[in-house]
Amino acid sequence: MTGAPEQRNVKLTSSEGTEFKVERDVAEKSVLLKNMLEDVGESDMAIPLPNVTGPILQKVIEYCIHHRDDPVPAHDDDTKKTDDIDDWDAEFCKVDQGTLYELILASNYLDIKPLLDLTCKTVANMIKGKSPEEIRKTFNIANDFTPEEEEQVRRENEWCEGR
Amino acid sequence: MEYEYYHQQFLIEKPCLATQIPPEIFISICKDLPPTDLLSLARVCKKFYGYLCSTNSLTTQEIWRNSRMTFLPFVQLPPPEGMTELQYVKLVSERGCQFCGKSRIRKIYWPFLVRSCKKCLEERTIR
Repeated sequence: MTGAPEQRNVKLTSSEGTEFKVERDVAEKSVLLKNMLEDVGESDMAIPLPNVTGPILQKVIEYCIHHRDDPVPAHDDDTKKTDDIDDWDAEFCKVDQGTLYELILASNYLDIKPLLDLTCKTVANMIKGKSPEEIRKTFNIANDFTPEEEEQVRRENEWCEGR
Repeated sequence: MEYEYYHQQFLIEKPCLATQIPPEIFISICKDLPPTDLLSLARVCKKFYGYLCSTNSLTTQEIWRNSRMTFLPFVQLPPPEGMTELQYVKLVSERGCQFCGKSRIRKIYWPFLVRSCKKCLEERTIR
């Protein structure tokens, strides 16, 4: 323990070299940063995040500030149970697919479990109840099966329900 | 000109995005999907098919196990030996005789690992 003031700012640098200042408890929403800060101790050095771009880091920080007082999930399964996404989180996820994808990668890299769960759930909701063709359209995925393969995969994965 | 180039780039990159998903992210997304949606996903493209329908893949097993534990709360026991998670999920949650297709059959004969109507079972077994 040091006698330092409780809230020290932490400096982070995005992939383009943009510097962001955040309060320590906000940065510690990221398990990766939390561990780093514990290892390094007090330091004025900026932490480089070469895998995260400025705009994405900005979004991630926005999320962490909003959720700074949330209790830390005690168990892995805790976050899974609540199926509904609250209004703020839903609004936060109203971004284009590229951004959503970057947010997933960033939360995975920074190890921010609630944000990873939220973004993955948002993608899952875009998949739910859709046919394969509708999923392709939604995510702009090319169908790379030959007609024969497609037919085989269809038969293989048909869901039999009271035929 | 530059805008057009950017735009084109974007269009080229877009289809790749979804199919570049690393396995650990794919697993996380699938956690929130019931078995029927996973089957639709498997039919989307080769990459997804590989993640969801490989016989010897830990990723495949994990995805189906997660979906089973979350969406089939009455099926918490692990699959019987020799059966993949996918085969197990299909066996317990589909309906209809696997032999004649008779509808509404949900009876599973566990020693044989089949879902069958009485008639088909009798035809295929010796007392």
